[in-house]
Order: sequence, then structure tokens, then C-alpha cells
Amino acid sequence: MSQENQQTRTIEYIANELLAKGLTKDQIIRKINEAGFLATLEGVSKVLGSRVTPTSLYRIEYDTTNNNLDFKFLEGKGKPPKANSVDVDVTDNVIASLSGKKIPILFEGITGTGKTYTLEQVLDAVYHIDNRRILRLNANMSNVLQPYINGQIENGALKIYINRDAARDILALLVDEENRGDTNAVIGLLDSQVTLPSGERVNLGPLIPQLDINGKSVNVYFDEEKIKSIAVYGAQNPSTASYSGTRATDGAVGNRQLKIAYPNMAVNSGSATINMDAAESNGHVEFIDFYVKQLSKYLGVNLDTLSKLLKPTDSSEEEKRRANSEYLSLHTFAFDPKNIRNKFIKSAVEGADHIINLTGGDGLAQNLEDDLGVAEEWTETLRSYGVDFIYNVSFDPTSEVIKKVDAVRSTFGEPLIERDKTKAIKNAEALALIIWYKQAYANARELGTSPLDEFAQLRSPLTLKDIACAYAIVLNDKMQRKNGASPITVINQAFKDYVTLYQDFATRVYQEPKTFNIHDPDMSIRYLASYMAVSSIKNENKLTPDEYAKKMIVAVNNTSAMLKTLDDGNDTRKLLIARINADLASLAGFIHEYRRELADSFNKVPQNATEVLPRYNALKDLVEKARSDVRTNYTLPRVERTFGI
Amino acid sequence: MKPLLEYELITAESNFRPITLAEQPMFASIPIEKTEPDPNHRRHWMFATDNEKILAHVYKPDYILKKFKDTVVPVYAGSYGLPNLSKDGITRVAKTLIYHTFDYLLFHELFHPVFLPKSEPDKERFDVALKNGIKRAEPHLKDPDVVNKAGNSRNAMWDFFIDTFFFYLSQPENTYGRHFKRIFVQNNETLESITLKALPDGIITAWDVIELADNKPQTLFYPITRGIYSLLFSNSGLLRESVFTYFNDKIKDKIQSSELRNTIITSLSNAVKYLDQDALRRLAIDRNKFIDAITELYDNMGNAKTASVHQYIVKAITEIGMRPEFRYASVGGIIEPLSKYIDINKEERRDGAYIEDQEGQGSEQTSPTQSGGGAEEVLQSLINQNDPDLDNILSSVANDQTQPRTNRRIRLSNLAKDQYYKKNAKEISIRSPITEAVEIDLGFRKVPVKINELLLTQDQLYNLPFERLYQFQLETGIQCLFQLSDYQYRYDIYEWKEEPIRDFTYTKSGIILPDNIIFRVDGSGSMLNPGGAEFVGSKSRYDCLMHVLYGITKSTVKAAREMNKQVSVVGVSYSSSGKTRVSQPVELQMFCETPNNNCKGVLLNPGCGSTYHDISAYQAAYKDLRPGKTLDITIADGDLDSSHDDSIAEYRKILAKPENTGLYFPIFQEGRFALRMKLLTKEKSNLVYRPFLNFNELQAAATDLIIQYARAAERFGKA
Repeated sequence: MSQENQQTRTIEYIANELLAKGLTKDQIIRKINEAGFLATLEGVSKVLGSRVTPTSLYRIEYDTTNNNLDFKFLEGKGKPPKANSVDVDVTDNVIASLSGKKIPILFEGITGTGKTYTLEQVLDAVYHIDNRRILRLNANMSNVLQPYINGQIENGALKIYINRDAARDILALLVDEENRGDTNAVIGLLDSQVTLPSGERVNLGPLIPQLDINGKSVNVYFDEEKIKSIAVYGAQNPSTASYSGTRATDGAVGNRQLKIAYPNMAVNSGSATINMDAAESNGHVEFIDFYVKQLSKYLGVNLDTLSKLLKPTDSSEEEKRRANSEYLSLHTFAFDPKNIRNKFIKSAVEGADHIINLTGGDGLAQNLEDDLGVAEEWTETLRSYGVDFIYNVSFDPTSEVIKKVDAVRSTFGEPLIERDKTKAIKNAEALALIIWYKQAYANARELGTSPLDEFAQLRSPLTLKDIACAYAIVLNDKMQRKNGASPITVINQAFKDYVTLYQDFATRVYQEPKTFNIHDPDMSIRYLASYMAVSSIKNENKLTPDEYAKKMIVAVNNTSAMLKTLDDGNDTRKLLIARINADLASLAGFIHEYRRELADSFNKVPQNATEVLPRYNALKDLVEKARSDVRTNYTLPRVERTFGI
Repeated sequence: MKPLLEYELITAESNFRPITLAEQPMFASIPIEKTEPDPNHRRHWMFATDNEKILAHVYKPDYILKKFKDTVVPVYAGSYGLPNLSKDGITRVAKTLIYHTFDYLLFHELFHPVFLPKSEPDKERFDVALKNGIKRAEPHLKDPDVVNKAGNSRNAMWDFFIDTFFFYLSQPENTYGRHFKRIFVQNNETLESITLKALPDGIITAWDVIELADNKPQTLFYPITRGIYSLLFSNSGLLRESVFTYFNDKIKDKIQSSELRNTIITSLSNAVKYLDQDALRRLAIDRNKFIDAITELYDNMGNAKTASVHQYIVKAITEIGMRPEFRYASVGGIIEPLSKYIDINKEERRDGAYIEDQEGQGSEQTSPTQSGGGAEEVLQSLINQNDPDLDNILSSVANDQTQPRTNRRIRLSNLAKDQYYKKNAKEISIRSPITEAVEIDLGFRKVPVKINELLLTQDQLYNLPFERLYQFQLETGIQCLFQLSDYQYRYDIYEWKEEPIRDFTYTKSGIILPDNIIFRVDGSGSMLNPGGAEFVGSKSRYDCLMHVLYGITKSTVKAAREMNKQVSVVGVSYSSSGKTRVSQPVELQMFCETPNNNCKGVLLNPGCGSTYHDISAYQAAYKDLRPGKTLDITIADGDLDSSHDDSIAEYRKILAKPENTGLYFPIFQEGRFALRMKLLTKEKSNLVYRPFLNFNELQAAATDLIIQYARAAERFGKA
């Protein structure tokens, strides 16, 4: 459907109603986002309730006292609920992935377990048949781009063209029997793009309506650049001898998708499926009916008006298209990934970095050497300041702990790559979303409150727990064989190293025992170190660039010296210390290189002798600005993660 | 009915799991192997680890309970403020202490792979440090005894460090202690009227108290180090004194109290003796303060006011011991004053009762897989760490003739001999001159192969992979979709197939590896001059023989690895009549890598008699060999005391088989028998004769022995 035909009256109506109730633009967007999500979730649950038995995938249990994670595969089994644990099932994953930004999920399992059926049911509920596609691949007819391509023989030769309307109309694609066809052909779809051999390319997915409010005036418009990526799901049998038509998934395809082992739960669900409805009725009609009711309730807007906007008022095809267009605009607006995106708090950034350091790179000894090298080179560069960032560490690559970490690393089919990190971030967002809504409904049931209010309250920046859970899933997906090795152990090791190092460091800084709090937005070793650097000039005004730099660099060096004494012989902790130390050395280097701009910024900040934060923020702003400058220094990412940006 | 103490062990494991998950996640699922009680077992309990699992074997629970009731409770109860316990009360306290001893022992085993020895290099450096400390303390001690002492004390010194770590970390304000506190509070755990918020004081030494309950200590090292334990591992002065007195009572008739005081104070003070002052300062440790604190603690051990110095010492030793960069220098200092008390022949185990020559049994406390006791491992550590004293130590240990020749000493000596020749013998290659044609792969090329064709209607056309077909058409110029009529199309299906591109080249093949090697060595007295049995490095004929033997072994084992071939090795050592020894066949890799296999046992220990060739040994060596080629190597000097004719006849029989090849190496002199063998080469093309007339000639020779296997010659012709 072209942009001109896309209907946005519902968004306008809701926005006007909420505006009249005194909500700001951001509040309106957030409210529509939250209500739209919950209404969708409830609508899907309503449709699927009598058609699909939930297939439990894993339980995530987090011990807040000891800060460790337990991750169990449930294999379709229903376990009694436990405190501090969340069970995630197939539909949770699918719905959460609809709300986020490109998390292609691939379900792999033996034939007949319900992979395709379940996915179809969810997509059938949420989208009209014109807005979703199911492709079944086989060896010779795997035309995965078929929905987007028109082809014909001209003058005896084949010519192909992109169907640009289809690129906007299709919101979800299910690639069934993915590994029976040419998986390489799927790569483009997973990137939400179609590229022809001629070079012609189109991004797939609908345009996201944009809301503008000027006084009492509401304006909804489209921006050609704001596209919601198409949701792509895959289903396949494992490439084993039992399924001789299947092929092993190509690495480039595999690392774009999150593969989830789909359990066979025939015994677990037992006879519960006997009286289930066959999926013969139109799930989407039923969905829309319930969705509109719930949306009206959550938004506090008139149900009749909303119904007239979102449901066809007569049986003509034109009216049906209009109503569907209204729904798609609202759905796309509510599921705009921009509104789902949450920032990670500082300890999440720092802790995740240690997980990445333990699981990525060419080897732990090499990772350590790189960090030691950076600290050493900065020491040389900054010699005139009299600093010493060199960390004389005796790392034992053959220690039992490192051997165990290496045992997990050795199971990865390919090393940790940037895409894995992106996958983990998206997963963390999806998992946080799942955890929030599960908790919101549990609270609402318990307290008799509104799930929407509970959900709104629970939404908060993402923590180390969220990103660690996501890494558990991503790393587990990377493991080609298990050998009794579990990525959870490495994640917990990272947790332990990080939490204990933070506590030891903070205790040393504050001169009193400090306990780590995973929700505290300001708990981070690098943050504390950089804050102390700025604190060293808190009483200074109108210093020269060199004077500011000298004081701050010496302060960073002192922090580094303190950090290095916290080496307790533990080899994984040494990696963490070396990494942070190298980052602090890089911070000192940044201060040196940007001392002129830094002094300008500092001297512009009205200085209250007791306040550090304004200047800290000035330093942080400078780092953010440096990101966009022509780069002359490639250790800048170390400084960026120091500030959690 | 459940075995006695099973509940205590299971409860201890249930404490161990969550704490390990939190503190040592990589070991969170380490299995704990328990066993059924066994009243006939020689020990009453055994806790050990191989780094993959923890063994928690309680063989005699009734004995343990009795000993805790009779011995531990009387030493501990008064200090706990439980002086007048009823009979039931004693049993309850004993069971509680056993339960918490299990708590401690499980973590003790965990701490080995986590902290010490946490890797092979860590273990090796620790051994070197012990050796250096013992050598400094007793400069006149013979090298074999230094190695033995280091081997006999290493386990105890590992334990000293990890027990200090556990004591420190399990204090309620520290990491493990906080976990114990939370668990104990949650479970309302008590020791009679006392609410437990931490492990019972002095729990580490309870094990030692019962270990010495029935056994008189045979050396002073163990009880002296237990004195150190009682000093460090009790918080209450009362208990510290009570436990110290218990251990002191066991040895007070053997050591003066002033000597004991001096030994303990010096040993602990030496923990910082060789550490850099600035480095210590970074750990907030002041050397002088540390030394003063030790004296103060010893002299006032029963005084509650020593609490702060006690904590200071324990924390300092933990900080030092946890860091590999300090622990080696530290242990080298600690062992110095203790060195003279270490037994030379027996491992200083915690059980106090020694089992003679339990080679292969390993340490009860630590590693059930460790072979031959600590001395062999220490020697191996010195080799791996390329210790500066290595050459002297190897020849000294190899030539050690200390009586009695216990199995343990023989094994250690064999290891030294083996390592000496591995290090010093020059490789002797056995090469073939044959040229062979070898097929080589130059790579692969991809070619499109038509595998099928389909006739399609217009509707079916939409399912085709248009973009792939288009790409294929561009790459190959092959059209694969044809419009046959207005309604019908033909689709040719192609697949890319890989085809190898091949060529041939000619190459000289290297070693033709036999399936069996027989080493026949002359172990007569004349071979062992000068030096007698102390032949290693003596430049005697046997020393020369060993160089030849190891030189050949080096090249063949390398080839066997490359070719992934199994080769059997048999050793035959000739000596006086009836004393010829023939080994079992040993696989070549095993023969090379292990110093105490059956074959090396024969070859490394010559009989020192006459040169009598027992005729039966010629054929006995061929028993149980692998089918295929056999290389039969004889290394000997002088003439035989037995019949030359009989031996020549046996050689003829052996060489009559084309799959056998003989190598004869006369060493230093070509006697009459050697010359007859030389003559035989004219008759037998599968016999090679190569004399080494002096040691220098052997050392200088970059010897390639060209061997023609008869069968190979038939097949390819001579080059």
C-alpha cells in the first residue's frame, strides 16, 4: 500500500483524546505504545488460548542476593512458578520480537511439533492475510524473494523487477522449511532488504507514522526514512540424517537469526489438546474485536468511535482495506522500535563488557595482552604527566578456571561477532519486555490493579541482569556442541568478577563497605573513576588546559593504581582489571588530547565548589561530540564505554 | 537405614552448592562422589579431587563419630563454653562438628583447582620454590633428598595456603563467611545453646585432631605444621591454646619448646622474607609489623587481645598466597625452617600413619591420579621449568644408589635417567633411500551439472528462484528457463559440483617405520666402566649405549606420531647366565613418554654381571609382537661369555625372515663376535652394522642409518 493510501485517523483520534486529557506528546506516544502492546498481547492470547498450547522454552532465575543467574531449558515442561524466576514460551518470543527491531527467530525441531502452526497462529491473529506471507522452501523451488519480485521472459531472456508495494504491505514473513532451500537467499530478508543481482534494492517493512503536536493541533505524517523492519521467522527440521532433505545452515544465515530449539511437548501437554478448536475461523477478525475493546479500555477512549475506525463498517472490500490500513498504522506506530528502546544503566554496560571479553576475541591471553598493551602505550605517551598505567600481571592461561572458560568458548561454532552483541541487546530488550509484562499481569491479578499501570511502572532502564540473560541465550545459540559446558557458568563468573571488583573498589574509594545494587543507575567502576577525575578539579576555576589535564590525569592514574591492587590472583578478575585499567588509561589519553576543548567546556560551566556533576556532564558531552569528529584516536570506544554511552 | 553421617555429608553438600555457584561459578556443578561405608578400608575417610570431581568418601562413620566424641569434643567444648555436656550432648556436638568439618573439606578440595595448584605451571613453580627453600636451608643435602623432601612436603604446603584462604574467607565479614552466615541463620543452625552465624571456630584443625588421635607421629614436620594450624585457624585464644597443646603433647618429648617456638615463628615470618618491600606495601602489609605480629601471637596465643594481630596475619598470608607472583617466594621462605623435619622417604600426609611405598596411589588429600608420589612430580616440575640446577640434579638423582633400593627410589631414578637421555641424546634417524610417486591435490574447481528438468505451467513459474536463475545465467551463460509454449515452460535444474584437480610428484620417502623395535642391550659389568651403576653422564659404554637407544627412539617416535602409527618396543637386557631380562612389548609413544614402563625398567637398570646371551631371549623378544616389520637392534661391547655360534645361529633365524631387519652397534670395541656379525652383513642384506668406537664419535655423528627392508627393496628396487 502506498503512503498516500495509508490511513492514520485512529492515531489522530487517540492523540486528540489524550491531548484533551492533558497528556504531553511524549506521554501520548508512550501511552499508545504501552496500551497498543498490551492490547495486542491480550488479543493474541485470546485467539491462541483455545488453539495453541503454550510451549515453554526456558526459565530465567536471578538470585538478587548473590547476583547469579540460573538458566534452564524447560523443553516444553510446565514447572510450578518460583520466586525471582520468569518462564518464557514460544509466543512470548514471537510477540516480543514483533515489538522490537529485527530479531529474526528460527525455530528448529523435529517435524510435527507445532513450530509452523504456532507461528502461523500468532501471525494470523496479528495480521490480515495480505500483510503476512508464508514461504515453504525446497531444493529447487526456494524462491524466497517471490513476494517481492515480478519476473517475466522478455525476448527469450528472463527479466526481474522489485514489487515496491509488496515491500511496504508485508509486515511479517514466515520462512518454513528454511534449510531445505537455499538459505543464502534468506540473508537479505533477515536484513530486511531485497537486493536484485542488477543492484536494485528496497528496504522491507511499513513506514512508521510520525506524530507531531503543535499546541492543540495533532499532525500525523510519514517519513520515507522511518521504516519498521519486517518481522521474519523461520522454522526448520534439524539437519540430521532423519531429515535427509535438510542442509546445515550457512554461518552467515545462522548468525543473523536467533535459533531456538523447539521442544516436542506431546507428552507434556497430554490430552489437553483433545478439545482444542481447529484453527478454521479467521483469527484476525477475532483478534481485532478484542484488541479494540482492550485498547479503548486502556486508553480511556470511546469504544464505538474506535470500533468504527478500526473495524469495517460494511462488507465492501474497500471498507475492509480502509479499516485494515487504520489498524496497520496504529500497530506500526505503537510498535515503533524507537519507543521500545531502553537505555542500559552503567553497570549493565560495564558488566556486559566483561562478558564480551570472556567470550569473545582470539583468546583470553590475547585479550589480556591487547589491554595491557594499550595501558603500556598510553603510559609512554603520557610520560610527561608522571603516570604509570602499566599493569604487571601474572596471567595463567592454563589455570583451571581459564580452562573451563576456554571449554565453553571452544564450543562456539564461530567467534563472538558484532552481530551477536546486537542480537544480545535486542534480546535483552525483548526479555525485559517479557519480564515486565509477566510481572505486570501477576501484580494486577494479585492486587486488583490495571495491568497497564503496573506495566508502565515496571518499565525502567535495562540492567546487567537483562543483558546477562540475553547473552545466556545468544551464547547458548552459538554453541555447536554442549560437552557439559554451559555459557551460564561464564556469565556467572563475569557477574562474580564484576560485582566483587565493584564492591572492593567502591569500598576502597568510599572508605566504607559498599554493596552492589543491580538497579542503581550510577554504580560502575569506570563511572566512579571518571567522576573522581572530575572531582579532582572541582575547586578549580579558570585553569589552563594543561593544568586541568595534569590534575585529572594524575587522578585517573591514582584510581588505576588503586584498581591494580585489587588483583587477588583470580585470572578472570585480572582480565577485568586489565580491561578497565586500559580504559582508564585511554580516558587519561582522551583528556590529554582534548584538553583545550575540555578547558573551554569547564570554564563555561558555572562552578559551584561542591558540585562535580555539571563538569562531569561537560566531559561526557565532549566524549559524545568526539564520536562524531573525524577520528584520530581509535581507543575512543574505551572512553565511550567508560561513560556508558 | 541410612549410613551414619550421610545426613551430615548431604547437608554439607547442600551448603556447598549455592556458595560455589555464587563464588566459583565455573565449578558450580563439580560432582561430589560419595561412597558406601567400608569397614575394611585402610582409611576412615578420604577427601580428594582430580579437579573434575570431588571425592567425599566416608568409609568408617562410626569410627569418625567415636573419635570426634572422644578426642575432638574434649579439646573444643570448653572453649565453646560447653564444659559439662551430657552423653547425648557430646554426640550432638560431635555430629555438628563433623557436619561442619565436611563443609570445610568440600571447600578445601574445591580450593585446590581454584587457588593452588591452579595449573600445571603453578604446581611446577611451587615445586621449584620448595626445592630452592629446602636447598637453602640444607645446603649439604644430596640432590635426590632435596627432591624427595620437596615431593614429600608439597601437598602439605598447598594445604597450608588454601586452608589459610578458607579460614580467612569463611570469616563472617568475608565472602564465603557471609554465605555461611545467611544459610545458618536461615536454617536456625545451632551448636547446642550457641546460635551459629559462622562455621564453628577451629573447624579446620578438627580433622587433624582425629588424624593424630590414634597414630603417633613418625616425623616432626606434620605435628609442627599442625602447631602452625592451631595458631592460625582458631579465633578464640582459649581454643587456639587448647588445640596447640593437643598437638604439642604429641611431640613434646621429641622437640624442645624453644626449638618449636623458633621453628614456627621463623617459618611464618619467612612468608615475607623474600618478598619485595614495596610490593608488600601495595598489599598494605608491613614486613616488620607482620614479623612482630607472629611473635606476639605465638607468645600470647591464649590471650583474647591477640585477635587483631591474628586477623592481620591471616589476611596477610591470604593476600600473599593468593597471588602467584608472591606465593612462590613466600613458600620458599616458609619451608626453610621446616626443611630439616621433612621425612626423606615418606610423604608428609595428614593421616600421620604412613603406608610404605604406595607408588601410584598418590596423595590421599589431593590428587588420586597423581603418580609415584610427589618426588617424581617435583623432578618433572624442575625439568619442565628448566631449573638452572637441572643437569646436576638429573645426573645426581639418576645415579642415586641410596640403599635400600625401594621401588619409590628406583622410579625416581628411572625418571631422572630417562629425562637425562631425552635431554642429551642426539637424534639418530633411520632413513630410506626410496623414491615414490605421490598424488597431490592442487585444489577444487566448481562446475555446473544439470541434474534434472521440470515442465512448469504459468502458475508454477511464480515459485521459481528468479534471482538465483538470473545470477546463474549471468555467471555461466547457461539459460535454464525456456518458454516452450504460451502455457508451458521448461526449467533445467543445475547444481554446482566440486571436482578435484590432481597431479603427481616424486618424493623421497623418509623413515620406513617398523611395526616393532627390539632393543637388545649389553648390561654387563664391562659396559659400566667407569662409574659402575652410576652410569648416567659417566661416558661409560652403557652411557654411550643409552645415547644410541634414545637417539633412535627420538627419531622413530617423531615419525610414528607423524604417521599415526603404532609400534611395539621390547627391551632385552643381557647379563649373567639366567639373568637375561625380556620386557613386555610397550607401545612406542608410551615407551618414550613414561619413564617407568616395563621396557624402560629393563633397559635403564643394567644387571652388571657378565655378557651371557640366554638363547631363549632371542625368540622370547618376538612374543606378542605386532604383525609386520621388526627392527632388531643390538648394542654391545666386547665378546660374549656364551656360545658365539649359538647366538649367530639365532641371528640367522631372525634375519631369515625378510620382514626382520637387524642393526648391530658395537660400542667402543669390535670383538670377535662383533666381527662375525660384520661378516654376516655380506650374506644378509637386512643386517646393518655400525660401530661407535668412542663416545665423541657418537656425539659428533649426525647419523642417518640407511636401512633397506627386504620387502621394500623387492617392491621398489634399490635407489
